[in-house]
Amino acid sequence: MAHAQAHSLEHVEPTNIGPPKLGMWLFLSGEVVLFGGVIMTIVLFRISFPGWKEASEHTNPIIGSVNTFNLLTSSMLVALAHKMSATGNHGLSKLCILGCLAFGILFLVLKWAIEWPVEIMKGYTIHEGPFWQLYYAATGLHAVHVLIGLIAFTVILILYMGKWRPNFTLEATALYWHFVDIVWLFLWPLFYLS
Amino acid sequence: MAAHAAAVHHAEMGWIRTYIFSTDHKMIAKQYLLNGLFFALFGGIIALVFRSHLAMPEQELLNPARYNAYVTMHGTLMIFWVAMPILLGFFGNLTIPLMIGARDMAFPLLNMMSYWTFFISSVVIMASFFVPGGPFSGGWTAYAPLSANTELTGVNWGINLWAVGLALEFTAVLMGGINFIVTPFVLRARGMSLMRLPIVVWMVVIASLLFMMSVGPLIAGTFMLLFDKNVGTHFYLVSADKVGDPLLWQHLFWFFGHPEVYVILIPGLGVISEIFPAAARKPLHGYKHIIFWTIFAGILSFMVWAHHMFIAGLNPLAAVGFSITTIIISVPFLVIVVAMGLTLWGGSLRFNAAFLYAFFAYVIFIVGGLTGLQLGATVADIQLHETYFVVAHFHYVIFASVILSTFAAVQWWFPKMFGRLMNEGVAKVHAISTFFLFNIVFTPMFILGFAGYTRRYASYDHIPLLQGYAWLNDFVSIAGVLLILVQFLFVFNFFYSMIAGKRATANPWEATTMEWSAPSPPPHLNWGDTIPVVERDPYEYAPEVPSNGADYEPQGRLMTMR
Ligand code: HEM
Ligand SMILES: [Cu+2]
Repeated sequence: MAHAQAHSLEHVEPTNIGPPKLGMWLFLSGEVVLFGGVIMTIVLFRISFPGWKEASEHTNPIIGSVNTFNLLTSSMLVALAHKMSATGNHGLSKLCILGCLAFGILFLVLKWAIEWPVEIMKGYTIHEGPFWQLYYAATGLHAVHVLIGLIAFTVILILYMGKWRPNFTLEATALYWHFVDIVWLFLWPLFYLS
Repeated sequence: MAAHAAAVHHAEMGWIRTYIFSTDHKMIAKQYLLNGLFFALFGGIIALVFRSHLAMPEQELLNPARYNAYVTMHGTLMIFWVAMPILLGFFGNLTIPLMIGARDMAFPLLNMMSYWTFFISSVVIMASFFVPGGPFSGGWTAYAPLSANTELTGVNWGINLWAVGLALEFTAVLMGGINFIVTPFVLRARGMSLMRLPIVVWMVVIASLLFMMSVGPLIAGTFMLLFDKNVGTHFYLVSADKVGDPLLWQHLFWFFGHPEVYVILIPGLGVISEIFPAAARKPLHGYKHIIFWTIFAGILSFMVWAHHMFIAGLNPLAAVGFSITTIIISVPFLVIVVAMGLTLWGGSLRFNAAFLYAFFAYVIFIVGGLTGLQLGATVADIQLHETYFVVAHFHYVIFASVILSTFAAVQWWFPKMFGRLMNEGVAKVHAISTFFLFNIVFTPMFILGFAGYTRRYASYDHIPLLQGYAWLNDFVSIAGVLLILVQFLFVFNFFYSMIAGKRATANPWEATTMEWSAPSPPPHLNWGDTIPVVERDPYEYAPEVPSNGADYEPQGRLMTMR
């Protein structure tokens, strides 16, 4: 088999998707599997243990839904920011990043400063059975991802204020941010609407 | 490429940047190798201790709890701190850039961070030997509730460090994996099409993908384990009023675990496939088939995990399904093994030490694969589960794919690491004695398993039924101790040759792939002032019209830069 194309000097150019982007997609695919495992676990507990539905009625669907809105909006803003910076509209791009940060922070404040403390005060702690422990574990893991994204955006914004121009960095972080958003779109119905 | 341009003028780097925090893939490969070999030796010595205990339990070398802790750490270290760093960290880092004609990895900094994260994980797992209560003792698979409840094992910090160390180790491999996958796709030399990549590169790519696609749920699961143990949740634990699901851990673990065993198999098969054509002076048989069937096996490996759980209370119908997928997954390996055999068939073999190692790995792997097939049949597994038969099965596969192919790889690529050759004579003695002792140790375990020897017992003296086999088990212990001692031949050869081995030429084995066109050892950024250009398929041995009078055609050549 080896002899067929032997002596021809083919010009095979390397794939033209840039290495960082490919790396980012790989990282995200790993994250998909991570959250895939978490979501499968939720589904498993949901079907095999009674009491899930009753417990889920004590979450706050209003906060849950407002937070969905927050993440979707900030995801949209970040897409805009990327577009603006690509077309050289840096002022607007920075404004969009700022907006994205604001909605992201609102998400975390609602989640960590209002929603969780209220639930814990009502006695729904992590020790209150399958629903609540998964609720805290899964939304907690997700919120940590939100936090990491916010830190990344803050750094980008600070650098952006100077001479530095984000090209790929912004795009990669935006990819990540959309991913975090999509994960929430799975967690939201599982915990708030079931 | 940016990396290419940088090659022309690179400044001298300090000692620390060269040897410690190096971003050079070859140095990182050596770091991974040494770290892995250290744990191989350490894990081997642990086995030496617990087998000595088993041979004379009345001496109380270890108490039963300690015995289990040693067995657990032996497995843990061998899989996660030997197989992973060597098969991915070492093979991947050493071979990928050199074989595809790149100057380094796509993300050299990430590569360095990968190794140092791995190093920290090594420190964490070593620390678990020194905390109160000692290291974890619930088996390398860490089944809940044993692992989630301190009272059951008496180990507290050992479990925490085990879990944290594992999470760090996974992170390190993920960081490395991104490099191993991205680099072959974006940094290939001109002319290096995907279907011209050497097999071992393909294998490392596939293995890294398998790892990435399977490890996520276990990382989540490990955190749930830590929660159960330290916060008092009930993900896995069941108590009077709270329900968890102990089987959940097994699902998460084995959903990762079976792909994982292929992660630590296929790079080894890749090394064998590099050495066989060069030894037989024939092209690799069925290059495309090997790649295709490996990918097929990789995909299928996500659908077989419950064959580890046949008697854990699985629905019998599901057991039938998993039996079937398990039996199907043997087909790809049959194809690969046959392709390798046909590569040797009719060749005029060059019996150098690297080939001996590779050939012994090949033979031993076949036995391991066949016995896996037997375990995959539910009916057989009901008898054999958790016995020495399983222990023998996985040692046959893992010893071949991890230990022997590592020896082969080190012997083969030593010139590219240290510019010298390893001593052939010592290596041959080591290869042959290891091969014989290995079989003497593990073949009897198949028999012991059938006889009813359950694994992880600190003593069998109190089981009257097994007394007829006690001599065989003692025999295994003695041979096992010898097997471990023989490994010092390799340690000696490695360090001796590093300092005083024969100087190697660029291509001592007359092999075809690109790394042999670089000097031994290659300089930083590999190709100096030249640019590698690839002109043909990777294994053109015995060409019809040899262009240089030799019996092989190098895959490419180095062009001088204008
Ligand atoms: C030809 C394909 C293979 C098949 C069909 C197969 C099948 C099996 C089965 C059914 C078991 C479960 C036995 C039991 O616990 O009762 C098992 C265990 C095991 N196999 Fe394989 N196997 C194969 C290849 C491999 C390879 C390539 C490796 C590693 C490189 C491996 C490593 C292991 C390990 C470590 C265990 C024991 C896990 C434990 O500690 O319980 N297997 N295998
Ligand atoms: Cu398996």
